Amino acid sequence: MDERDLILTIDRAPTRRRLLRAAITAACTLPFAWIKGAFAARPIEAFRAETVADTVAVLFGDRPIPESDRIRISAADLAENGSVVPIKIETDFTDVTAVSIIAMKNPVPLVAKFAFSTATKGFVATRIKLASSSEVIAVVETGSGTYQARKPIEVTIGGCSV
Amino acid sequence: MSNSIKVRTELRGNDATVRMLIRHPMEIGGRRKNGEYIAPHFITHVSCKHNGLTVAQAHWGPGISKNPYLSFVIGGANSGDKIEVRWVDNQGATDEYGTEI
Repeated sequence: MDERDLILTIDRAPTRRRLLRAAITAACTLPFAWIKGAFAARPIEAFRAETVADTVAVLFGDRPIPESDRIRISAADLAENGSVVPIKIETDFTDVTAVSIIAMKNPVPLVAKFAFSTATKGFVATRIKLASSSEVIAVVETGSGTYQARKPIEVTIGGCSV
Repeated sequence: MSNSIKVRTELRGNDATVRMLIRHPMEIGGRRKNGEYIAPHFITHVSCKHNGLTVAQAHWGPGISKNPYLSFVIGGANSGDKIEVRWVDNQGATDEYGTEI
């Protein structure tokens, strides 16, 4: 293998990766193209982020997210089964537009992002998976700012593989 | 196949609590079962309309538990109001269900 071959090989690798990535992106996005009118855009990049910092950066940019005691996360302190952890987020902010749930140690930290119209009250409940004991962050976006609350949840059996 | 969604509503004053259960594997993917690779299969969108207006939308990843549960509260609701729920998963499957408060 002479030098030119080597350069070609090196050159090709990122291209192939880019192509592959483009193909995957297209495959993931295309099915949703037709329902675009019915749904607000999915935060695809945020679901692709693998660290909490990236997730927050993609979702909220460098917006300040102060902690607020007006947001309450209700969940068991000790969840036996990490694959089903009931969680409830309540807030008395009246102009909630979105609630995001981020699990600090999940492979995909962003669990869910809920978008609400002003007709709804500041309340959402669901059941999430937790890979291991970690803090769960609830980020509430309101008309007057973005706020967060955190709660540590202990998990006996991780729900990563379910 | 509109039987994957169950919706319960409860009206208290003008606040309607909407609770829904969706039957879905919410498979994270990437693991193996009996040597077979399991493809990711999870709901990515849920939308809920109240009298034709979208009031709540959920963007989900695989971090939501199998057979997802979702609950929220709609203000300014009355008995007889229409509630429509629709979901779409990452494989393009979809289902919808309508009911009244």
